[in-house]
This record gives sequence, C-alpha cells and structure tokens, in this order.
Amino acid sequence: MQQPDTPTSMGWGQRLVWAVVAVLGAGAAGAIALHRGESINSIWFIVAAVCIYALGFRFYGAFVAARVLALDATRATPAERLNDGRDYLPTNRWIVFGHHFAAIAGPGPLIGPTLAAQFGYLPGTIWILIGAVLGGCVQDFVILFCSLRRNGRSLGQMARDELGALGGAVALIGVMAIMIILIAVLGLVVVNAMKHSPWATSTVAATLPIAVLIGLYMRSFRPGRVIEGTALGVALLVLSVVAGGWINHHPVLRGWFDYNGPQLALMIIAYGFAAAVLPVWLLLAPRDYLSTFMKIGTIVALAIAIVILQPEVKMPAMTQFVDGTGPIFGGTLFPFVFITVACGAISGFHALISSGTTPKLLGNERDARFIGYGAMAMESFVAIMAMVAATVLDPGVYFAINSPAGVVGAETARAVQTISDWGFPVTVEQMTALAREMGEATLFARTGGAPSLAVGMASIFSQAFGSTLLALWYHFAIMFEALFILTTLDAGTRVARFMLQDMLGNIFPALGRTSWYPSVLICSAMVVAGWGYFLYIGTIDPLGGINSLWPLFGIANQMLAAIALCVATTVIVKSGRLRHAWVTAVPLGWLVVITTAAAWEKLFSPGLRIGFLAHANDLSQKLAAGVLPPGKAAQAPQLIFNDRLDAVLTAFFLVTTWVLVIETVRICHAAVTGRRCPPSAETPYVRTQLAEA
Amino acid sequence: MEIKTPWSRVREVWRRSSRGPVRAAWLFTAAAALWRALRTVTGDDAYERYVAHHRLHHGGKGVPMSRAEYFRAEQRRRWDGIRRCC
Repeated sequence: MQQPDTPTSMGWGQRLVWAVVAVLGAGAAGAIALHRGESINSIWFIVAAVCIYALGFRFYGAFVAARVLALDATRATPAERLNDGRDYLPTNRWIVFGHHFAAIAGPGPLIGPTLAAQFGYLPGTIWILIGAVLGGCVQDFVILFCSLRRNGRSLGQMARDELGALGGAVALIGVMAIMIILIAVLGLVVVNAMKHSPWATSTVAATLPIAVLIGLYMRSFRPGRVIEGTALGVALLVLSVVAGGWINHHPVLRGWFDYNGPQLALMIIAYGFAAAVLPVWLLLAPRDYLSTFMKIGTIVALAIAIVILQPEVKMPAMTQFVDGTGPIFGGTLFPFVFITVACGAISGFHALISSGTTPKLLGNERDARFIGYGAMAMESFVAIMAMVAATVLDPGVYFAINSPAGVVGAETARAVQTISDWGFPVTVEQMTALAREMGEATLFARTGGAPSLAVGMASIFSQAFGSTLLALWYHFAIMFEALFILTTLDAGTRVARFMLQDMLGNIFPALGRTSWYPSVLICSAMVVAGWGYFLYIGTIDPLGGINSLWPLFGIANQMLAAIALCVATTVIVKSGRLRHAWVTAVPLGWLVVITTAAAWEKLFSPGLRIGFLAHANDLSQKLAAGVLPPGKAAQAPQLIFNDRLDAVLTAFFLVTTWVLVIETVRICHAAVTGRRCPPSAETPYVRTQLAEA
Repeated sequence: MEIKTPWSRVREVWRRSSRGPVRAAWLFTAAAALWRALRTVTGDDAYERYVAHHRLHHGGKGVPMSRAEYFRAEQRRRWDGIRRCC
C-alpha cells in the first residue's frame, strides 16, 4: 500500500480537491491579512490554518519525505531491528502519533500567542502558520528521521556524533539552561493565576490529592486500568472546581487559600522539590495521565466551540506596540514576535522528544512524516486557537488583564486611564463586573497569559455550550492550565535532575548513580533552587517578571531549535544532498538572525524595559542617588543582580549558538570538499521483514 | 504487527453489512470498534497486548508478568527520560 508521495501521482479528482483547499486557504489567509475594520470572524483563522497545514503536509512534507530525506518504506526501523518488546517496539502509527503529540503539547503554545497578541492578531498568526509549516514541522520531522536512522539516538548524542564533542556539550548545557528558565516562567504563570484567588488556589491545590488518589487506584486497587482511573480523576477535578467556588464564598475557608505572589512562589518551590523526590507513581505519572486527557479534551472542546460560535476577533490586526512600547513585554515587532510565539511555530524542545522515545516505536520509516510533521501541525493549531481566545476579548480588557502594575499603574483608575488613552477603551466598572462574573476579586495586572486565556475560553465555552456559568468555566480553564503546567514543572525538574546527575557523575561518581537517594536529594535541590530563584525574583519584580523571563525562555527555546537544525543540516549535507540542504538551512538561518537580534537587544538596548544592563544601571544609579522609596530600595540590589544574571545567561545563549553554527558550517564545508570530518553515523540498510512493506 | 486503524475497520463492517439486512448490527460493531480504539490509544489494553506479544514471541518460555507487575515496570521505564515539553 504505497502512498502517492509526489504531487505528480495524483488523479484528477484529488487534484480538484487540493485546488479547492488551496483556494480556500488563500482566501481565508487573504481575508485575515487584508481585513481592516471593526472586527473579523474567527472562523477565518480556523479555515486558513487547517488549509495551510493540510497543504504543507500534503505537498511540502511529501517533498521533504521523498526528495530531501528519501524515506524508504522497505528499510527496517530500529523498532523492528532492535525489538526488545519494551523500549523498541513496532507500534501502531496512530498510537505513536498520540504519544508523540501528548509529549510535545505543553503550555507554551497557549501562552506565547496570548502574549504576542499585544502586537495585534496578524503578526503572531502569520508567524505561527509560516513558522510551523516551513520551520517547526520540518525540524520535528527531520530530527525524527535522523534519529530513526541512528538507532533512536538522542539529540545530544547525535550532536556529538555528527558535530563532534563540542557540539554535544553545547547541546547538553543548552537543554539544562532552557529547562531552568522554562520551569521558572511556567511557575510564574501559575502563581499569577492563583494570586489572591482562593477559588483558583484551592482548586489547583485539590489536584494534588486527586492525583495521588488516582496514582494509588491505578497501582494498587485496579492496576493498569487507565480509562477507569482517568474517568474518576476527571470527575473529581470537575468537582474540585465546583468546590472551589464554595470555598471562595466561605468566610473562614477562603482565608486559608488567599496568598500573595511571593508566598505562592515559595509554595510552588516546596511543592516542586517534593514532587521531584517522591516516587513517580505517586504523583507524577497519574497527574500526567489526567493532564494529557484534560488537555486533549479541552482543546477539542475549544475547537468545537469556536466553530459553533464563530466569535468575532476584536483586536486590531496591528497595534501601535509594534514600535516596542508594549505593556506586556518591551521590544519591537522584529525580533520579539518570533521569540514570544516560540513553541507554536517552532520549538527546539520537540527535537528532544523526536529523538528520544518516538523513533523507537515507529514500525515503518514512511510514517515519520505523519508523526513528525503532522503532530507539530496539530500543536501549531493549538497556538492558533490560543490566539483566537486572546483576541476575541475586548482589547481594553486584554491589556488590563495582562499589563503589569509597574507599567500602567497600580491604581485601577489610573490603569484604565492609561489603557484607554492608548485607544483601547475600558472602564473600572467593566473590569469589576467581569471580575465578579469570573468569581475573582480583581482581574487587573494578572500577567502571564493564563488568566486572559481563561477569560477568553470561559466566554467562548459559556456562549457555545448554552450556559452562563462563567465563573465555573473560568476556574475550569485555570485548573486545566495549571494542571499541565505543574506536570511540565515536575517532569522538567526530574529531567534536569537526571542531566545534572549525569554531568556531576563525571566529577563525583557517586552522584552519577541516579537512584542513590542522597544524590537524588542533592541534585533535585540544586535544580529546584535554580528555577526557584528566577521564579521568586519574578514575583517581586515590579515589571511583572514575565517581561524578562518569557523573552529569555523564547531565546533559549529558539536556540535549542537552532542546535537541532544544525544537526539536521549536517546530516543532510553528509548524505550528499547539498542542493536540498536549504530545507533546514533556511529556517536555521532565520532562527540565528532572530535569536541574535533579540539577544543583542536584551543585552545592549538602552530601553529600560528591554535591555537587562540598561535596567540594572538605571536602578543602581537611582539607588545610589537615594530616590527610590524604602520598599523598592530594599529589593533593588536583588533586582540589579538578577538583571546582570539574565544578561550573562543571554550572552551565554548567544555565544553557544554561534559556536555551534560556525562548527556546522566548518563541518559541512569539510564534508562537501572531501576533507576530514566525523563520518555520518547512519546505520546500514537492512530490509524490513514486516509484512506490510 | 500493524493494527488496522479504527476507521478502516468501521468502513469494512459498513461495506459488509450493506449486503445484508442487519445494518443495526453495524452501529453496535462501530461502537465496539471505537471502544477498542479508545482502549488502545489510552493504553488501557496495554497489558493484554503485552500478554499477546509475549505468547507470540516467547511462546511457552517464561511466564508473563502479572497485571500489577507489568504496570509498575512500564511506569518505571516510561519515566526514565524526557517525557514532557513546553
């Protein structure tokens, strides 16, 4: 059952169908791009996205599969050759797709587009679509292919094999750094959603005992009954949302769950450490089941709701903040829209999944396009829906929720005045009414993207599914986001711990033993201290923390994508297909341009909300001159130190990216001119014995 | 090795049932296929598949793990690496 892989093998019927898809996609994309008016229907976003992904998969994906990588359905995969019934196991491709998608889908594509909406709906949407089809999907696909042809080796190992020891080391340290920043920024998103909200805090707190209960259920009471356990867990989670509303109205109980940012940060840090040292089956694994099912269920429900309701997008196509004065994060459209969207278009992190577990499960090489390219297209579609949910809000409301008090003013009257003066009218009454509807005390300055996404989702859900229970939908959305943010936080801490143990094991062999409990405690504490520091500083930062942490995360993530594309390009060049190397080299070049530009600005921009060093210098001058109020003066040394630390990290990302790019160019040049370089590590051809091929 | 996709199975049954008068049976079969697909995709039937695999490849030699043992072993194995993304 050879599939038609090249456009020329299509029948007339198929050609007609694809022509219709192309016209529809072009029409919808044109409508989004050229529309200038009060509002635009969100259905255009969905139509444009679906058509563009379908075309990208059918034509560009097929081109990459046939001409660039030359996928060979007769070649035995590692799953077949090394079949051990456990790690290596030929598995149905739909199951592999499910596992792969669940692993790559995280909170990034929900948060990035929400923040990027400050530039208007157009820049973010264009980059999500183009970045995914030409960049992100290709990266995931090619890395999956490279790993498939190398016995399922990891990105770090492939970097070492193809680019030498330096490349391997840079990749490893890059992954550690991105983990630390990622966890800190995600923790901050959760903290900002729970700040002074007894309802949100109690609901999120309830997810812990629920996960433990399900963990016990699936381990001891009914082993391996995943559907039962999950159904029970989801029912309990919904119940916890309702119970949270009851706690919120209880005069005594609500006080138990009412905390400020730094307090919540300390709790998350304590929780993160506990989750990292507890056995996996108790908390991590059951919560992972729950969050995966909640995630997929909620995303599907959101897609259905958007299609039914077809809400109007009220955000303008472009706002004046393309000039860099945006309240949510400082910086001009170029390069910051690319850095901010990050995961929804291209995410370096996916290269770790594509090169780890997934290639060991594929029964047929041909399915690499469906898994690698297809799953990323779906992930990118999630980003489009997040963009819709953020932009269906009144722009004034969107900015009131997402702007930190340090930018628009802590007084509500001043904040609405500032935002209305920008041309996005909003009133204190409107915000108060909205907060009351959502069951919150206030929605002002709830930075991080999660609350505004929850407000958007709540309004879409409550209208589409004929219910007016806005507060329940809002807290359901918050719980859903917190659930998988905390899963990423636990799982990330664990992975970073493994890596740290691995690295330290070279110096102190005892620490390298991953199950030795003192080593587990020490290394977990070090990892948690790393992200905990950035998280805590984020909660006391008057500019909101997101302003500095999210761009740092975006730069780190895009840098990791650049590393992955370096490996991919080297592999393609070594395979003798230099003339097709542009498929990965062009996205690589673009990533290098945007990460360099963004890192440069974060380092040296004179703008106080952009340049880390400018902000540090300004603050230290003010501190020396004694013009800061006492409270701020006490925090200033910490903030100054943090700015300088952020600057060092940014410089480190910049240097490592360039070292790796230069190394890639050198090795590719050597490979083309026939000089000495590490040979391609591709495993030799073995014919498949599986019946299907 | 290759398991048929849920959709192809449903299509097959539909084709066959259209010849006979028992279209109602189709609904039942479709529901059963959906349920099986759900169990497979969620990993609910992982143990059954493991036992089948064990019988096929190691036929007679050794005893397959019990359901609880298998679940624990799988969980340990799965969490020994990068599982989640941003």
